Parts: sequence; structure tokens; C-alpha cells
Amino acid sequence: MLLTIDPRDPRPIYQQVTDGIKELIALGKLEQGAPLPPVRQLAADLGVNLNTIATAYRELQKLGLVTISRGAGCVVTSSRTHERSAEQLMRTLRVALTDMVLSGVPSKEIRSLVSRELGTVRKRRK
Amino acid sequence: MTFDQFSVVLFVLFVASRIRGYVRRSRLPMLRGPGCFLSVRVKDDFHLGPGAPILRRYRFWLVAPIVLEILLGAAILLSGHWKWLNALIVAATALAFASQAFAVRRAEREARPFQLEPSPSPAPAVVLSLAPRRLRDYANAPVEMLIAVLTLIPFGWLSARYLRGVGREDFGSLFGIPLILLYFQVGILYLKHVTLSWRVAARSADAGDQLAVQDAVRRHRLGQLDAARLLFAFCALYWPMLVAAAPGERSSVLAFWLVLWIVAGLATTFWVESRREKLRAFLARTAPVDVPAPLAEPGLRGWPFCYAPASPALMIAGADRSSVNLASTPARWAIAYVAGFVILLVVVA
Repeated sequence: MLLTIDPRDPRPIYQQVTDGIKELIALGKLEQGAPLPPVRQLAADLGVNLNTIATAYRELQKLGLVTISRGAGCVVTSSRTHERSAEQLMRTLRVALTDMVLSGVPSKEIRSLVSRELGTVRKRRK
Repeated sequence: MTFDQFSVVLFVLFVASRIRGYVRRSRLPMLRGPGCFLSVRVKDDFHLGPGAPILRRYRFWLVAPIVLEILLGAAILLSGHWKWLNALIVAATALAFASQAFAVRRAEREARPFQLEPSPSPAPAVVLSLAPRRLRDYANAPVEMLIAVLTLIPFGWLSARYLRGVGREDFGSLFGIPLILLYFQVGILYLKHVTLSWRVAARSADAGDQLAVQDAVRRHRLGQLDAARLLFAFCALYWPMLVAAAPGERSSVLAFWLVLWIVAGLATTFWVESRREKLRAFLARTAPVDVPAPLAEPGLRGWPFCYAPASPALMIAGADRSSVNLASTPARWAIAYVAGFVILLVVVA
């Protein structure tokens, strides 16, 4: 279970941590009941502020993927996020598609990329 | 054997048992063969050319503590206060660790300008493991059980004696020594915590191997610390026997235990050394560990101590030196531990 954080990535570090853990949960590498490292450990390993990791964990909690308790720490409780409206999901997809279009990727290639990535995620999840 | 004689024997064994370690550590820069100087990739003949003075300075800082320790030991022997040799052993152990860390860091810094491949791109990706590193994740159940039993036996026996008022001893004289030994055990647990909370990260290339090396080193250190805890727990067993012995038999009971301690200490040393050999063989087969720089280190604001509450790290690294972060939890615990030790000494004195 390795998490990669890239300082050159335009996303803030807390977002990268959130997205990285979400991806590991989606791929089934982090299963229900799996404990996540304490905030202090992750913050020390990355060399970032404690609040950066605490914010990332709170984001995951808001999504319903983890629960945070004083004794057990942060534990993966679900492999599905809370129900989100079609509009919310579309917004996420629209942002990603907009980035691709602005990067000059042709529509045909975008469709192929989306299809391939969806296939990869579903395959690993099984 | 009196306690004074025991102290001298222990000191001599302590110095003798570390000579092999010093010889091995003096060769540490060339552990991975030509082309590597500690964790820096260099030319094959680096240690014969520009690396020679660096290697000399590295060895100087390695040997300096043992020379100082022998000189101080000789002074204590001449002064006749042989019990102080035990304090010297504790101080020399801490100094040896500090001096080794300093020598390695300094040598790596000096060798870096001769590095063959400069550090990859200005901001490489950082890879870390999501496996939690808590004390319980690295606990060895049988060892913990054994330590618990060895600790409970003397305290149970002494408590029963104290409550029955058999020997009419006061609390301090009955529980003092076992409590101090127990406190040392707590101190070692603290060191285990610090070992586990030490920064672990790798660069994206061969991250799995790099993290495996860091894990192997961490497990070795934790094993050493557990061995020390076991030794302290074993030490505490002698006290009830000494208390229960008739006044005329106490010197022979003490002599028996002192010899037993030396034997147990030697057995532990051999065990640790055999594990170290395995680790050394493993490290020699792996690439040097290159821990990426922290992503948002607050920067060195003072030396040797600083106060950076936003960072959980015990040590804040600067360009050429590190500072102890007094705002970190391990630093606070260390302060509390020292204060607690003083209080304990006052209570049992």
C-alpha cells in the first residue's frame, strides 16, 4: 500500500493524500477495516504540517470512506462514498474532461482513455 | 565478587565487546562495494582519492568516543570510585550512537559534491507506506509476555512481603531498585516509539526496495531495544532473592547474580551481533537509501533546540545541522521522562 505525493502536482498536498487513499480504496488495495496510519506518522513521513493530513482524513470521513475515533484512529469503513447527486458527479467528470480538452487531447482519445481507465478500476476492484 | 569488582569486569567486557563493532563501522562507507560511499554514488576509487580525507575524518569521529571512554575509565579506576564505571557505560553508549550518526551525516555531506548522479529533478515524487507503525504493530507477543512475567514476579513477591510486614523494610529500600529497573524499561519503550516515529519515505524509483531496507533497519533496532528490555526485566529478578537471603548469604547471592548478569549480557551481545551480520549482508545487496527531502519542513529556527509546533518531527533538519523540536511529542516525553526519573530517585532515596 504505497502512496505517492508529487510536489509538482498542482493539487494541494492534502488533496493528493485524499485522492491517493480514495484510489487505493477504489482499487481494493485498502479494504474495509484496514487501519490508516496516525496523522503524526503520515505528517512526519511527508514532512508536512499535521493539519494537512488531518484535513485529508476529514475529507475522507466526509465522503464516508473512513471513520475517525480516538482509540482506533482512522479506519476504512466503506468502499463506497456517500450517495451523491448526478449533478455533483457530473461536476467532477466535467472538471477532468475540461482539463483534457484544454490540454489539446482529441475527443476520440479522451473517450478511449476514459474507457480504459474505467476498465482498469473495475477490473482491479473485482 | 563485590559490586565494585563487577563494575570493573563489566566495563572491560563492554569496551572489549565493542572493538569488533568499531572495526566494522570503520568499513561502513564501503559496505556496498566500490561505487558507493555510504549512501552516495561515487567513482570506484573515490575512497583512495578525494574520499580519503573524508574517510579519515569519518574514522576519527568514530574512534574519538572510545578513546575518551577509555581515558575516563582509567581515571575512574585510579580514583577508586569504581561504581561510576556503570554511569560511564550508559554515557558511552549514548555518545557512541550520537557520534556514529554525526560521523555518517558529516561524511555523506562532504562526499555529496563528488556524487556521480546529481539528485533527481528539483522536486521528485515522495512515496510512503500506508502501513501503520505503532508499538503494537511491531510487538513480539512471546517476548512481551516474557517481559511481563519477569517484571510481575519480583513486584508481586515484594508487594506480598511489604503488605505482610515481614522484613520491616521501608518502601524505598524494598522497591527502589526494581522501580528504577522498571523505569529504564519504560525509557526503552520510549526509544522504541522514537524509532517507529522516525521519518520513512522513498523516491518513486525503486520505492518498494527502499522502504524494505528502511523497514529491515527499523526491525533490527527494535530487536536490540527489546533485548535490552528483556535484560532489565531479568535483572529485576535478583532483588527479591537478595532481600530474602540471610545476611550472611547475601554476598554469595549477589556474586551469583553478578556473574549471571555478565553471562546474560554476553549472550544478548552475541544474539544482537548475529542479527546485525544478517542485516549487514542484506544492506550490502541493496542500493543506498536516499530519503527525499520533507515537502514542507518549517526550516531551522534555532540550534540545538527549536520550537516548531506545526511539525511532528523530533529533529528538524537544516542545511548542515539538525535541531531538536521541543514542540514535538517525543521531545515532551523525553523531558517528562527525565523529570520523572528525578522524582523517582527522590521518592525511593
